[in-house]
Amino acid sequence: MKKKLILNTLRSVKNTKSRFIAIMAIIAIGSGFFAGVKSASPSMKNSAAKYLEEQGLADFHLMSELGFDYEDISAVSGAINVNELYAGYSADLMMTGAADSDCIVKVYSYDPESGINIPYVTEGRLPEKEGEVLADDRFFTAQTPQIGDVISLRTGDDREIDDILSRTEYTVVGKGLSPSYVSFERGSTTIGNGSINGWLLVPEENFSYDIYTDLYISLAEAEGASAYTDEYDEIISRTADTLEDFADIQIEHRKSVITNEAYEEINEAKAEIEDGKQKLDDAEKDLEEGRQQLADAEKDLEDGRQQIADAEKELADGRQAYDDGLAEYEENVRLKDSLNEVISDLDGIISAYETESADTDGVNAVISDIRDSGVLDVDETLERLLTGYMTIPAAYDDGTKAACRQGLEQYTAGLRSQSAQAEEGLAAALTELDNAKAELDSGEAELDNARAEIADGEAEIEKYKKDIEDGEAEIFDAKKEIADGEAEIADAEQALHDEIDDAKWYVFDRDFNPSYSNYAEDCDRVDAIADVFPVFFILVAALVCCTTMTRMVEEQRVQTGTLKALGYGRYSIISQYILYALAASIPGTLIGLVIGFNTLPPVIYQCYKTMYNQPYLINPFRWDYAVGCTVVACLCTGLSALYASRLELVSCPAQLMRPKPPKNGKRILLERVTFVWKRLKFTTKVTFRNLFRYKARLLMTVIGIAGCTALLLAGYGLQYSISSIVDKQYGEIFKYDALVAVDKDTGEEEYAAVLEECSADGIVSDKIPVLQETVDIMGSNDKLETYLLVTESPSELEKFIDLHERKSREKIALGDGVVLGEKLARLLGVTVGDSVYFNGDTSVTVDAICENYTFNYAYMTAETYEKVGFDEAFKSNMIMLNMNYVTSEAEDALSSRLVKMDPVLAVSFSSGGGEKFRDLVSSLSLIIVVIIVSAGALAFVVLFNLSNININERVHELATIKVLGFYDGEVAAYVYRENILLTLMGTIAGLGLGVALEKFVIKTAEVDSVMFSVEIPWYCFMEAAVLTCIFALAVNITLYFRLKKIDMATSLKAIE
Amino acid sequence: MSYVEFKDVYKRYKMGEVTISASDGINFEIEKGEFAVIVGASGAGKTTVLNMLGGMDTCDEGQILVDGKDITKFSKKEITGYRRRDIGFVFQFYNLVQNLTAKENVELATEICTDAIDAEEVLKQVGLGERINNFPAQLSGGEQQRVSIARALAKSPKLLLCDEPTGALDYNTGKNILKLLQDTCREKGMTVVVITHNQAITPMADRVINIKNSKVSKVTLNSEPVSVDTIEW
Repeated sequence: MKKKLILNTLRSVKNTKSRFIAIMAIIAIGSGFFAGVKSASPSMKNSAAKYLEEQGLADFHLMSELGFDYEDISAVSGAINVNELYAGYSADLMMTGAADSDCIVKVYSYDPESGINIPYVTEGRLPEKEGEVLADDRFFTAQTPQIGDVISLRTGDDREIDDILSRTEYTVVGKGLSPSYVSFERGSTTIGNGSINGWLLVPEENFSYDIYTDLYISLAEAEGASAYTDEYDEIISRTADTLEDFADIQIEHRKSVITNEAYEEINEAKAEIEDGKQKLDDAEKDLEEGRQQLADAEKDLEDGRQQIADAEKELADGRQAYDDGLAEYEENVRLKDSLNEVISDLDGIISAYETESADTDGVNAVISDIRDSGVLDVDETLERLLTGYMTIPAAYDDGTKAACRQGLEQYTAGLRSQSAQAEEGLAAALTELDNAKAELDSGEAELDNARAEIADGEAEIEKYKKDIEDGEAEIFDAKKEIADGEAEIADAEQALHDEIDDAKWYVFDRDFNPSYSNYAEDCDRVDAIADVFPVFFILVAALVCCTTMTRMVEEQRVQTGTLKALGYGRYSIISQYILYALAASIPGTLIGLVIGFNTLPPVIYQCYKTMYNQPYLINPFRWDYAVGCTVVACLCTGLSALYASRLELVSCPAQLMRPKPPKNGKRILLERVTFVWKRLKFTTKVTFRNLFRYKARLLMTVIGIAGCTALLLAGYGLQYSISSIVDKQYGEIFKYDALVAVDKDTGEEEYAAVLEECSADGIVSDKIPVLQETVDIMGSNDKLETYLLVTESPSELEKFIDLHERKSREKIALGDGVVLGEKLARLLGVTVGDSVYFNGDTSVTVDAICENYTFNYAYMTAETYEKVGFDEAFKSNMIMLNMNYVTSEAEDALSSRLVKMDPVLAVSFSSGGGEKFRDLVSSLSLIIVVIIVSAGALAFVVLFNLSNININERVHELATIKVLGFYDGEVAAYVYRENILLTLMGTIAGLGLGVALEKFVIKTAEVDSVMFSVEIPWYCFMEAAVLTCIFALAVNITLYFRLKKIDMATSLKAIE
Repeated sequence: MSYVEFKDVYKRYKMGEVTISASDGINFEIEKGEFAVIVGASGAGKTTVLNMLGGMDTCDEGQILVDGKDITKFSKKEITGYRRRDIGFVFQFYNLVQNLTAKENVELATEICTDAIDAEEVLKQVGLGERINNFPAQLSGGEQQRVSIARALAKSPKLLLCDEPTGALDYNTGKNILKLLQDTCREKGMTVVVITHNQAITPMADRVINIKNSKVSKVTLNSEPVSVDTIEW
């Protein structure tokens, strides 16, 4: 190419600044947007891949109910090509943080030596010694632990915390992100309300498990293969097969170990029970012997008692005899004394007889005395003697008297001897009596001894009896114990089977982590958007370039002819235009690329950052896209230059140098409709004629404007769709004001107390206990995780959750089946009347499908819940509250009261409920702003450029009408009428196109847990249309000054 | 006082450092109803005079009086109004709007004018009664120029300014156009100013103003202007 031509081209750049800049701008916008959005997805993927590689996200995660031992570990290392393996522990626990509310955490062991799943510390540091903990930076709860907080852990169910951790209190020393949690989802568990709020990392030493619960493997083959690449997926799926086959075999190892250990214990227990039985038998024998002995003793005792009774009787007889003897003796003593008295009487008488005269009276007295004494019978002899003695007077002394006296004396002597004899007998009797008494006394003493002996015997027998009873009780207990022991052994055996029979190794590769694959899917969604929006931009840019270049070639027609006449070859001439095109498109592309690469991926990354824990974005300048974009842009402008100049190049110079015959005026279709045409104002007619005169440009302008309007509408529509769901979900569907999460294992009384406390001070107007769980649900085509909300009183639930059909807005009453959220139903591929399965087994009919936007919910009654194969009975773990007035003071008061109660895990309020989601939405809005701004820029450039061309083409005409005396305003109106009509046409077409575009984008951009509302409200149409019109107006205002500057002298010149 | 008067009119263009005078103290007069020809070589400055007279350009110095009013004192709006009402302009390249029929092109002017002559009538007057609904592309050069003249006449202007009206036409057609202009002048008493480089046509004018080097070199008054038919070049 000749130097002068180059110079000429460069000069023409200077002279056609606005056109040049327009081409540059349109190329910049097109390529910038395309490259920016298109590179977002790979940049995000690459960043994630790099992050995951640096943090060493395990390629495989193995879990087993039976745990892993060293043999397992070495076996794994043998089975596959392991680069590194980390065996660790994990447990789902309840955490009580600084604020008194509880949440559920997954606690992992941390080994600083391990290069697998290294946490990315965002704040503070890693735990270094026991009792330190690194906390999740993105806790899914209001009370995120802060550095310095002391948290305490408990199991939340019947596990013993000591079996899991060596201590319960930990100090937070840092916060971070875990590569195994790619998104904000934290998974589900079996404790508490079932959703995990966050994770904690404690030093491995703090775990007290003796068997590893988790194995993390990084694969040697996967070393160097980036995540999210086909290469990686291929390696992993190959190894996964091997690993799964291996796992099925290797599980037997732990099974046998556990079986052996268990049977060892069981056998020990059995032996113990045998011993116990033996001992029991012995004890029973002993007891029997004891019983025999007791019976013997009792018999002996009875004999003793009999002997004592006999002895007592004998003793009593003895005593009687002794008493009798004593009485006899005393009688005899008395008799002897009487006898002696009689003797002395007799002696008196005898002596008196000597001296005294007889006294019959005396004698009679004596006799009667003697008789009275009873000692002796006053026999005839004595009487006669006495009488004789007395009655014979002394004088009479005959022998009779003496004989009498003699007789008497003899009698007395007889008596005397009798008395002496009696005396003698008495003494002997006394001795005898004394002897008898002594004997009696000793007998008595002997008896007392015997009695004491008997009492002792009785006491002893009592004791024996008691012993025997104790023994019997003991034996009973022992028997029960043995029975229990046996039952326990049976249970243990059953448990062992339960544990072992279904036990297996779970082999999880990264794709089992839903957020890992979701991240890629979301990136692909961005990519899909990148395929629509930017292609749109590029298309419009190409169209505009084409028009502009065509115009330019036309303008330079004469020059081309001249050059040709001067002898320049056609390629030299073409290369001029191509040079111009490249001069505009290369810097344009570069500017666009630099801006696009540097702004769009970070903006899109920011949006996704709220959902994904990707801490940084690596956003390199992408040479492939850059080169591609530049080539496309150059082709786009270059080809349009070529296309535009095709006619000029074949024409001969003379033809070219003659002015191009102006495009002929033609009647338009409307004119044939004479009754309309006639009625139109002259200016309107002109406008219509002009409009249809340049059909290509009309089409292009309409397409350009329609494109902008469509982009704007799609942008606004998306913004509405995304932002409105928060209000719809948390305003129209979820009507409750607060949620109180309650420990599921709370006793009835405690639970009642919580219910009571809820409405203690008049803040709360209504309350309802419900059960909310995270469950698996299976439909016809997919298995998904969803929230299940169960209530006992469906009618009451209406006050808290408005279940209704979206389109008809008909209320839904909970019946025998289940009510599913719309998105959930769609994902499951079920409609009303179909069956879904919870936990695999029992089917439930889908009663209705309700409007729902955020997360997935299924609703059912407590009866249904119990019927459909959930293992447990309905038990509330959440209370929904409606408040009389919602102020932050009331909320604070309520929550501080409730949180203090033991069973209350957390209190959350709807006013903050949508918060998390709102964040997400506001970040997505950023993308929309990008789209709107880009669309606006595009609209402006397109309109400006096309209008500019329009004016350039008609500058002669415009100058003429100026000369004809059109005021500036009239001249402008002459042009604007067309622009306005074109804008309107474009806008209307764009609105239609926008609806389709929005639908497409929503379809590609939607995530599983969210349903965007599809309808676009009227004001979005308004916004898009008005904004387009404002752009058009702005363009027209700029053009006004150009129109004003048109030199009337131009009209005198020949038409170019 | 004359109908049109140029008094010491200067027009200078700044081209970088150099100032070029396109009009260097122009003085002339034209009486009402006259057929005036401003003649000069290419670049002599006659178009500048035309532009200033037609209200398409302003002068830097001096007075331009038309019908007693100094148009140099006019505001932008007034000058547009002046063009609108008082000036009929006939272009070398006709400057018809291609997209409008002959009639519509005339209407383009009458539309904005209060006391305009009916388009069809004026087209008949210029001899295009049969072709009023034709587009410019369907008309010959001469016919197009007639439309152009009709467009100018339809407003009944005070001045009919013609910039090389025959420049793009062949000899005979050119003559016919000049004839039309002369007839219009004579029959309607219209003041016609024709700008041309063609000295040959000067005999047909009442007044010939020669421009040379941005100055009026000579003004000739023809007491006996000849008919166009007698002129040849």
